[in-house]
Amino acid sequence: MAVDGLLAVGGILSLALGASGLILTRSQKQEIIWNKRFAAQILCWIFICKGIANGVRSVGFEGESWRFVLYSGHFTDQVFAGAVVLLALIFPVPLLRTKKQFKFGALAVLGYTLISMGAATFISINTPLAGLADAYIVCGFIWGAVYLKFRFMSNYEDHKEVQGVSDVAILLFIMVTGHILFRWVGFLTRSNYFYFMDIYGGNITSDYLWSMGLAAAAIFGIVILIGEIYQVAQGNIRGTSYVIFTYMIIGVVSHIVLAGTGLSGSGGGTDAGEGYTKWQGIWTEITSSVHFTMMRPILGLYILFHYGLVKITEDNEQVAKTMAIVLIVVATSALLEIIQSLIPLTEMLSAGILGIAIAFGIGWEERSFQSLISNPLRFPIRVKGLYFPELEFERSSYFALDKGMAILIGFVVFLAFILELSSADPFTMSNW
Amino acid sequence: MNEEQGIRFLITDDDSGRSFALLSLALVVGLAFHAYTFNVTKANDIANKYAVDVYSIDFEHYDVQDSDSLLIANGEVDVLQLSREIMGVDEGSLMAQITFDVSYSESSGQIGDPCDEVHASIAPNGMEADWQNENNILSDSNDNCDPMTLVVYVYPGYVGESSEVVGNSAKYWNDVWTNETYGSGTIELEISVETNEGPTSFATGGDDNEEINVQWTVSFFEVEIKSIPS
Repeated sequence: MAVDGLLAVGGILSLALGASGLILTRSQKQEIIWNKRFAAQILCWIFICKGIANGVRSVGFEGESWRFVLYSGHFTDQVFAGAVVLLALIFPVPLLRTKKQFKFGALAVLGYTLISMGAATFISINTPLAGLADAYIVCGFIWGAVYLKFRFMSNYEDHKEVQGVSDVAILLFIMVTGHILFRWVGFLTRSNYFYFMDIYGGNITSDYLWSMGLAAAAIFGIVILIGEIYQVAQGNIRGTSYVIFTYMIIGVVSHIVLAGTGLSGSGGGTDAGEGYTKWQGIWTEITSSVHFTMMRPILGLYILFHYGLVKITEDNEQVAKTMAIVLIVVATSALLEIIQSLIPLTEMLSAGILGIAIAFGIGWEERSFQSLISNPLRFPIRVKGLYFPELEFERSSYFALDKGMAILIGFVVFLAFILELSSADPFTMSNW
Repeated sequence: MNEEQGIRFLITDDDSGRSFALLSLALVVGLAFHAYTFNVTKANDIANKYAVDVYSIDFEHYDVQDSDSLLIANGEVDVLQLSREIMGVDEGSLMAQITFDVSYSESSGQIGDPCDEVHASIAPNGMEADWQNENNILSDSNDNCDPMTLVVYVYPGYVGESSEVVGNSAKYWNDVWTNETYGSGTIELEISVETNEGPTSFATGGDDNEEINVQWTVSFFEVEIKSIPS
């Protein structure tokens, strides 16, 4: 499967998760603590943004409407970046601790996002102000700090709820920056495949800021890796330890595979660069691209259900099950498609394997779904309640967030359409 | 705002701010390393990462020539073989093209004996060459004693002129122009003769063979690839 196909599948997965997650948050009857409720909604909108960005980019930039692809992808990524920062500010530990702080924080993020979009529209899409990498620094720092505080909290090393906070911080961090963690060794070894990653290219300041954001992600990944190695040495291994170890080990292997490559392409290394060999391209596809397109929604689904961001009851269980099945089956079959493209298989054999894979996917869902939703992890409100202030929000406040995000996304897509019709030059302001 | 509502509380509670300090230190040190690497160590590489390399490709060529004479009987086919080994050149020599000049005259000595019919052809196999080249002349025949020239272009794309190419690496271009596979194997020139009897042949005896002269010229080249500073 070509990377474009992966982007399309990833876009569908993200959109499916986002849309069905929003239906679940709206239909749930149980009361949920405010930051989890907002976090669930923001997470869903994050995936809707990414779904649109990936879906649009899967078309490619070769067609006549390349401006629409470029602008709509960039704008929805900017909304994505803003939403990720807002998510980090309230979840798992709310840094915005009063209603006033929350409103101010949300408006500040919105304002910054709009200014970034304005810069992309009226100055240049690769101007430093229109960049996206600051999201990695802010959310990585917040989730990294939360991880350190809760993972190393004295006398709570075995406390399930306290450790659960550090777990979700790691998972959120990996969900957002996992594809960059596959290149962390290159950051230390000063390899081209890390330092040549840029955002569109052509503006050295933008490229530097972008690279700095990627470096920050690698730094936080290294800090978490060291923390988990220490914890393992102390005998405190957890499920998330395996996840971070897996990502970082793949990063080591990636260094062996990618060392010596030149251009890495625009973005966070999810595409193969121009000078990549076939094997290097395949490796990039089965690591970074798969994380970027498929692992993100899967991790998002896990976080939504396992950490109680969405409470599943009899009323909405069917929607949740359908959502999980769609995600798992599509991801499983897409993974098999990738394997098929790498290993030549006969049609009969591949059909058989696809059937087994889907059956396995559904079987996994049947076995694991109940355990995933029946015992959502609670936050340590009883022992560390001061970290989790209880705020009362009107139901209309939650709806207002959905409305605001829907309007914002609709607006940016419309803006991209207008820019396409106007034949705007995204890289200069000569047209204006 | 009470104390529990502030960021300071989040930073300092439980660990006196050690987590925050540790992460901040790691970030500052890491970003300083990144800034130094990006702006100093790799500044040139990064600035030139999209610069497209230009290379000059210069050729020096030389010819190896020899000739052979074949006495071919009427209705017979004779074969002249040529290979690097037969020519006595190095196995790694880069072969550009092979030219066969086939000539003959009526050698029967009979009065009024017309030229014989001679057919020369090269089978498109045996040697690794650019057999699809449109300029190849793989066969010819005549019966008027005019010389014939057969040509096989061996190295694809070789025209013998220096050029400048853009993109890829020196190694890439070196690989393109030093493929020793081309020219390996043996090329075979087949020549057949059909004699034409003269009006006096019944009295002087038949014209039953012809001497064919073949001069072959094999062009070799050496290549030099240099990066042109931008």
